[in-house]
Amino acid sequence: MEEILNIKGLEVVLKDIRGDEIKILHSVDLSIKKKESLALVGESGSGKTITARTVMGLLPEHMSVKKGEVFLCGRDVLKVSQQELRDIRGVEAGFIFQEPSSYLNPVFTAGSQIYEAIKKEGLKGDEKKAMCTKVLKDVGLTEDVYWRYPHQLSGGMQQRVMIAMAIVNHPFLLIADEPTTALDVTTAAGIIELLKNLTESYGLSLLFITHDISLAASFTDKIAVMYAGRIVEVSHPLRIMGSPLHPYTEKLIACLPERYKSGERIKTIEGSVPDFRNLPEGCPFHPRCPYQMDICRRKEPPAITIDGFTVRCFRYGDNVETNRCE
Amino acid sequence: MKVFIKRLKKRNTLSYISLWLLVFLYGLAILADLITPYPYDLQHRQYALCPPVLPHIFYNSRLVRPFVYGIEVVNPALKEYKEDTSRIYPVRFFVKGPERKVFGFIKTERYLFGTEGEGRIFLFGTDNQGRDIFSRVLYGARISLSIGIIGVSISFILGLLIGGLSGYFGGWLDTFMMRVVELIMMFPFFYLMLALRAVFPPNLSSLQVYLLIVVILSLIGWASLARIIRGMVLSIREEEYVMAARALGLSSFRIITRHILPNTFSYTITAITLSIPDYIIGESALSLLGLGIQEPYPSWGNMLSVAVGNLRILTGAPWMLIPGFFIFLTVLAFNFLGDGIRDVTDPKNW
Amino acid sequence: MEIMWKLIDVSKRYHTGKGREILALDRIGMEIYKGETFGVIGESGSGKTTLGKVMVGLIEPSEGRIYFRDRCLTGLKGKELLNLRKEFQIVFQDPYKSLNPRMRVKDAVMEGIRKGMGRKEKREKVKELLSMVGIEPKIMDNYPHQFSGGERQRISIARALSTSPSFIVCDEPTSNLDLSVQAKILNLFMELKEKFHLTYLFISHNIKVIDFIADRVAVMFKGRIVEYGKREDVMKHPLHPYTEVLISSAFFKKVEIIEKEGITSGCAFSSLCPYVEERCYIEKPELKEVEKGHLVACFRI
Repeated sequence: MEEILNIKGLEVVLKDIRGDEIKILHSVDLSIKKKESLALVGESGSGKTITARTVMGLLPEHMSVKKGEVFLCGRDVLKVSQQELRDIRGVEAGFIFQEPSSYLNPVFTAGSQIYEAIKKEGLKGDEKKAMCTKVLKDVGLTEDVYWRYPHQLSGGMQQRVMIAMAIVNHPFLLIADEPTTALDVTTAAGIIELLKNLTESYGLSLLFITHDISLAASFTDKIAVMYAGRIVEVSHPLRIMGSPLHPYTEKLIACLPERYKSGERIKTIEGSVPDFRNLPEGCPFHPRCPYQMDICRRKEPPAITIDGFTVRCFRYGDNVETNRCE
Repeated sequence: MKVFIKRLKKRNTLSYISLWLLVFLYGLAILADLITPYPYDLQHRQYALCPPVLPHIFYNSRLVRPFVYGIEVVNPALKEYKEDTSRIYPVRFFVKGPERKVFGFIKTERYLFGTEGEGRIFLFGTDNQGRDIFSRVLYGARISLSIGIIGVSISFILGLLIGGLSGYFGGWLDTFMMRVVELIMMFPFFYLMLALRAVFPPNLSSLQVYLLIVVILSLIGWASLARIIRGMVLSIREEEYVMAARALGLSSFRIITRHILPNTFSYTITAITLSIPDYIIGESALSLLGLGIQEPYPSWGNMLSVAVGNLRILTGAPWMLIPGFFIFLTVLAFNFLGDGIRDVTDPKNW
Repeated sequence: MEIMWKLIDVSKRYHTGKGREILALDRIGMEIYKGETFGVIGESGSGKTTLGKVMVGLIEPSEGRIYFRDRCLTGLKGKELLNLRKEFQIVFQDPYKSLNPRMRVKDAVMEGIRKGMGRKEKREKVKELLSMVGIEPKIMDNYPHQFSGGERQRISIARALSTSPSFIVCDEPTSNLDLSVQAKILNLFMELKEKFHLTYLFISHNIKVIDFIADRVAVMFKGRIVEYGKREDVMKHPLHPYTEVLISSAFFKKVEIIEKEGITSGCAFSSLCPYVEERCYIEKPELKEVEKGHLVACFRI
């Protein structure tokens, strides 16, 4: 099947005050097929937001792409002109963010903002309005929302308006950067349900960024776990929650409070996430890893594919342990 | 304090330079008695409106001890002067001259530099009464520079107090104080200043006039500061760390002084350094209009008033505007200093 | 079991500019026992944060009475209140906002320590408190912005402990933290509870966290407690429709909520409830004991 999004060997650097270049993304590889939903999971500082921003072409000024390619529908968005990038945005890929109230203009109605988002040429005013009304219905909102201002809408409704703006041009890919983190649990559930339905009804592929791994596992097709600017594991949700491959994933899942009985102490990960300026030699996770071996301290593990899943860890591969079965 | 100055130097060179420039100017003002070659009210009638007499250090292409030439009066009516190369007067340092009182009570006969006999050293020229402008600028600095500092201190204390209490306690205190503030702010600053000054009799001793000006300026100035501080206090009051302090059982006094007011400093310190120039200009304006410091006492403002009113003087004796240059320099220096202080006092830069 | 807190009919009203009233707390009645972790679950607008702040005296209730160890707190003022304040402390949600950015960490923790100790003794106490929460004492001269979110939260906890309280309100203390950091902070809360025999009011919107740490639980919706009881009872056998919805959402099971418009004088949940009847729009249900220790405010039961 054709891949909607294909990131190959992406390296992003940051230029600090002194002019030094510091790597924040180290050789990221990611791919999403048509109608597939992939969750990019990580804690703060893992690089998941930067990856998303790179695909959108919205990296902040002091950051830039050093190496790598980002193919969206076969085209490398890192090499296109600014004008082409503007054409791609909204049409081939749509974006939604965490705080809908910050991204909706408070002085325009919801409807007019969706209207403005329509990029198809040659349409008459009422044709565009009809598109707006239809997309409002598709995201679960009633027609009168068209005339309402953002502050008159609840958080959940605002997020649905953002989704409407993102999908009105029927893009191939929807990038959602922590869209439910700022919402109540019950509202968030509704949004997730909506996103699930849209992958079917609009044929969308979804890149879902979150720090909540159990949320990701509840509805996506694939999960990619990030640590210290690298993708350390890409796997199927059930597998990740049941028998994860990478030690970090294993220890991260062990931090979920629902896995413990009341009164038990949670098994935490020793140490803390390293500052991207001071990454350890070799595998970035090795100082905190219970399985660390000599080679982990010296070299960085390459990405290995087992059974169609990817992991960066020296425990897997030709010389070490056997592949684990389901 | 030392750490502060070091940090300033590192972060903002312009600000650092401004700091030392201001220290220098204030130093000149304080030590005026010891530095100036002449008292501020000594009139050299025959040399009225004389252009600047600067010392020379070369004579026949040889480097010599600084000296001035004599002044030849070419045309007394038109006030034209020429250097008389036939007469040479060396510039002496720690020269002896008529007795003066330093700071009003220490007697001295020596000052930093001057000439002897018939020689005159008018570094900035003379005014229409023949008084040495350089000396008057230094004495005038005392008035102009101190009014800024004293006036701002009073305003600052009033503004912090009233703004802080209003913002923290709210209620009727807040409502009342803010109406007072609005009343004051309603009047155009300049006219209010004039009106207040005019209320008092024109013939007051210079000291009284000085104090009056300071009081007027600070009573007008505290209002806008109070309002802004009140706004800041209102929002800081709702911050979580303030709530935590309340939960710890700390007294209101401690919370206001330790938690709330320090977090207004990033604004207030900058506001203060930027308003000092306003006070200096306010005093100058009053003096310009004849309502400020009276003759013969110099202030930069009243020195300018003579120059500005008379076109002939303006075109013929432009050195009389030098006090204006000093006002400009001081205001600029305070502005840059304020920028630097604001940068340095932001804890995120520590 | 000794009762530490008793709240009777506590309400808090806010007047908005348009002459309308918001009822942040609507006749709250509950008890907290000494030594337990009392969990409060709710979403935004439930009043859970207001409840915490009312208990530590940061907000005055509009009505009702609050008893701490049989002493009535409402109406207490001045010195007496300030002294009692030291008994109960609060830890806030946002680690980036709960510390004064201009104050060194050691000073922030030192403020609450009892008077009557010399400066040196106080310093020692600060070092002790900081190491107890896992912060190296040698960096106590630093400013908050030099620490990470998790570390700042630990410092806030140390500050709360500085007055030697017996009760701490934990207002969403881990909601802004990464999962691995949350785990450590939750462990820390449990350790400190054992060590200092503390009682907690633990507020969160995260059901999984409450399910893990709380002994008894109250579910709040729009200022009212809709369900109340032992954690196992409420989590395993929820009685209120809202609790059911919360638990399903948290475990990512599909949930039907149809939002109907309109303000009712009856049950606050009536506009969203799948089991709503006529009566629900008119009357407000009160908390009734259905099983031992398990109360719910719903007409269905």
